Amino acid sequence: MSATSTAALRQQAIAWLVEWRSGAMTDRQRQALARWRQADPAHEAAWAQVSGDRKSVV
Amino acid sequence: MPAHPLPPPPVAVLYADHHGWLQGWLRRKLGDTAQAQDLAHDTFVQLLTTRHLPPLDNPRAYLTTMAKRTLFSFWRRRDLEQAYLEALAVQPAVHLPSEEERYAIVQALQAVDRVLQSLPPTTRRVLLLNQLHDMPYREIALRLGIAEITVRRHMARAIDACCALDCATALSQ
Repeated sequence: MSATSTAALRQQAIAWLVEWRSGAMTDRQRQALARWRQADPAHEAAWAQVSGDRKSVV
Repeated sequence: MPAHPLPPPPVAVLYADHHGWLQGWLRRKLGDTAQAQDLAHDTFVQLLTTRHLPPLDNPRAYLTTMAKRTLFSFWRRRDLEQAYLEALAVQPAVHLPSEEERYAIVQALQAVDRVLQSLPPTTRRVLLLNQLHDMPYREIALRLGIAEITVRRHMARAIDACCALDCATALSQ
């Protein structure tokens, strides 16, 4: 995994988290997020890092 | 023994010349000798870690500015700790955390506080309205009189800053 793609994944995860916190996420978007997280362990890792286990953010 | 010995490092000179004075200045602000000693020490540690040394003609003005910063963060830390202890006092005694846990929690609060303080005011408000009040972006946009897309940008920036904190915390453990 190159540093660039890690940074890019982090930005993707941030974009998802911004969506997640919008208060207006549709079912379709939720499914898209679930698919993105499942697509690659690196996605899930980026998501975990950005959203953390912190209840306040997730 | 060289004919012209090297001059002592600037911080050492500053320390020798002004440490006592700085401690006195802090003692007057704090009314506590031990705390003044700690903060004078912290100020010189800060000085050692910055690249800029004070101008030679007026080192005390510079030292005062740095000491004020140290003092300000000390007061802020104390206020946070106080607020946390007050919040604990109204909790049922069953869940009282240990001394170690309290220390860790206050450390974490300080880290969060630093991140929040580092954010521009609007970004901070957006984050807090969303995180603490669970306010949807549309409502935040209405309340702050900004576009929803701008709310999203503020959120992205705030989340970025918060996970930079998490990475730093993870690295320091």
